[in-house]
This record gives sequence, C-alpha cells and structure tokens, in this order.
Amino acid sequence: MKAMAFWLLAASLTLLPMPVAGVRGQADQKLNLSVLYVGHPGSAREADFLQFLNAHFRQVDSGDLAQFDGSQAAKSDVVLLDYDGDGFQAPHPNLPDSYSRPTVTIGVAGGLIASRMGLKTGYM
Amino acid sequence: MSDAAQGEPSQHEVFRTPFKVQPTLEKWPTPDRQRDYPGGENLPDQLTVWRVQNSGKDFGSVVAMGYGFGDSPDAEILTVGYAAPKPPGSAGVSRQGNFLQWGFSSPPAQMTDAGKAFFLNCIVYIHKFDGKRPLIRRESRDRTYAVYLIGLIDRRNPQFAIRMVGSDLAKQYAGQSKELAALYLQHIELVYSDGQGQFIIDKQLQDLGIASNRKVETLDQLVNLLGQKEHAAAALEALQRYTGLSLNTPQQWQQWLAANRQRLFFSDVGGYKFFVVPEGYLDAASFR
Repeated sequence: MKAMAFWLLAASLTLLPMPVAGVRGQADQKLNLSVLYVGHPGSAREADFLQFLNAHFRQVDSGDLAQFDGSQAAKSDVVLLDYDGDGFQAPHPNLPDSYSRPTVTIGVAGGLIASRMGLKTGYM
Repeated sequence: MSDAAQGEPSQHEVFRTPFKVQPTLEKWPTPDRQRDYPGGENLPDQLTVWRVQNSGKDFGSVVAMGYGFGDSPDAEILTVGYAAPKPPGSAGVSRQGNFLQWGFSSPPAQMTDAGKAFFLNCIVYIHKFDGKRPLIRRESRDRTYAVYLIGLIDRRNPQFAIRMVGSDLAKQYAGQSKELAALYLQHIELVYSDGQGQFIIDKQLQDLGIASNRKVETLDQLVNLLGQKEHAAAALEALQRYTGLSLNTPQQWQQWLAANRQRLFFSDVGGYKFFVVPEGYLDAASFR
C-alpha cells in the first residue's frame, strides 16, 4: 500500500507544470501562444527578449522592424514591436488601417509607432 | 517615465492571470510639477509605486496622455506610470483596440519579477483583442487638457492664443488667460474643437437650451428640435457636426438613433463626435 502511495505521489509530481523562469514562486507550463518579436536583428536586446519569450511561449519567431509591414504577422497570435538604442531613431513601420493582429508596442519606439498611428496609447 | 508603475495593481485580470503580479510597494514623493495639472491639486505628499524594471535611470520610458483616454470603449489604462514632469494619470501601460503599449523601455533582464509577470500577462491579455481594431484615432485634445492649455496662453506667443481660441477671444482676453480658462471651464460641457486646433464654446447648442454636447440625450433633443421651424436649421447643423452624418429628415435621424442608441459613444479625442460601436465589438469574451 505504501509503495502504491509512493508511486502515485511520484506520478503526480511529474505532471506538475514546470516553474516559469523569472516569475518566482509561480508555476505554469509554457503559454500556448505563438509570438512574433519584431525588433533589431542581431542586437543584444533582441537576444534578451527572445530568450525570455522562448522560456514562456510555445512558439517564438523574430523579425526586423525595418521590414515589418504587418503581413509577417499572419501566422502569429501576438506581435511585439520593439527596437534597441534610441527609440527616436527606430524604423517607422507603416501598418495598414486594416491591421488587426494583437500587438504589443514597447518603449519609446513603440510609443512613437502608436503616436504615428493616431492611437491613444501613443507617446504624448 | 521612471522605472515604476504608480498605484497598487488593480483587480484587472492583467494583474491576476496567468500570473499573479505581486510587487513590492514603495512610497515616492509626489512630483511638484504634477500639482499644476488638472487633477493634481489634491495629490498626497507621497505616491504608491512599484518597480517594473531596474534601468538605473529615472527617465527613458514613455507615457501616454491620460486625459480623454476613457472616452472611447476601445481604450483603457492598465497602469499609470510614475513620470515626474507629466500630468497625473499618464498611462504607463495602456491599450486601444488590438494595440497594447508597454511604456517601460528595459529588456527582460532588467525587469523585476513583478514586471516580468505583468509583461507576460499583457501579452496574453492582448491576444483577446484579435481583430478588434481601434474605434477612433487621435484627432484632438480632450476638453480638460484643452482648458488647461488655454489657462497658459499668456505664457505663450500670441499665435498660440489665436490658434487655441480664435482671434476674437484671444484679443478680448489678452493678458487674462486664467479668466479665459474659467470661461471655458464654466461651459466645459459645450466645448468642442473645430478640427483645426481651435476650441469653441458651442453657443448654438446653448441657444437651443441644450446643456451638453456629449450626452446621447442631446441627440434626442436635437432631433425633436428638427420639428420646430425656428430651431430646425440650427438643430440639423449641430446634429451633422456631432455625428459627421449628412442625414436630413427627422425620420432619418430617428431611425438612425433607434438603430444605434445602445452603441453610441462621444469622443473628444476622436474629434468631438458621436461614434457607433460595431455590432459584436464589445463581446464579453473580449472585455473584462
């Protein structure tokens, strides 16, 4: 009986979700979303974001903000628009009014993208 | 903006799921500059904040204007940012339609644990808004901030005054911008923008006995006035101004109102007009 209890406990422990790196004390499996990070290819900032996102999301892809026109987002659940360095010098993607993919704009570059689109979330 | 969000995390799902955001709360001094803005008069001496990141700088992140943020149902402030020179209530993290702006600039390696949890939750949260494009685009300042700027006209060049209030009022109130702002504040419910940056007190509505330009009841009142010969022309002009529509007969306006009443909203930021929320846009599945 004790042996059975031990194996049941061991089996249940193996089914527990893995701890999420960087979010201490909270356990979860990878989040079931595909994320497209669009930033500055080859930059340390991109590497940092991709490492973090890969640890938490089922699928992570990357893209170049200078080339982004919205069409690259078709296969992703959520898009992140970001850039390193001086956000005021970041590329200015032109997104069509029909663009409706869930999108997180980040930092100064993101705030300026939102401003150019006439969004309330834009940099004041 | 600094490294900190301002205020305790709310009960909004973005602070609860999939990760519970459990920040360490701190008290930071209230920036003196914020007391000059609308809403800043009664701020306490200290503000509750929590660190989202540790950039080592007290600037470098960005906020969005808080005034007028709530005047369309597609937009929400998820957290205010602690930003010393900016107006109180400025948005550190906010959403409009399918866009969520994360105003903090640091990469994950510099985020706090609470910041990481909040960031991940934001990504999960915005996924709910797939296909929900913004309902309005920024066309104008909201009236609260406009009146604040009118109160500062004396500190700016004369062209600014003319652009904000027109040459007649600018001349009449030269050197008296506080009195001019008080006039606008007294009629705040009747203020609108002409689309060129000038703010106008709607004398036409006032003469029609209407107290506000942004209530749905105003549209009912105007449609009723279409049936009164002496007021019909002014009422039609006001209806067209505040809806952007070119309907003419009372029947057309009544039908439009009946079809859209439950989905109407008025936005200063969107251009001082009524807008109609598309069918299905506010599905419970997409909103908290």
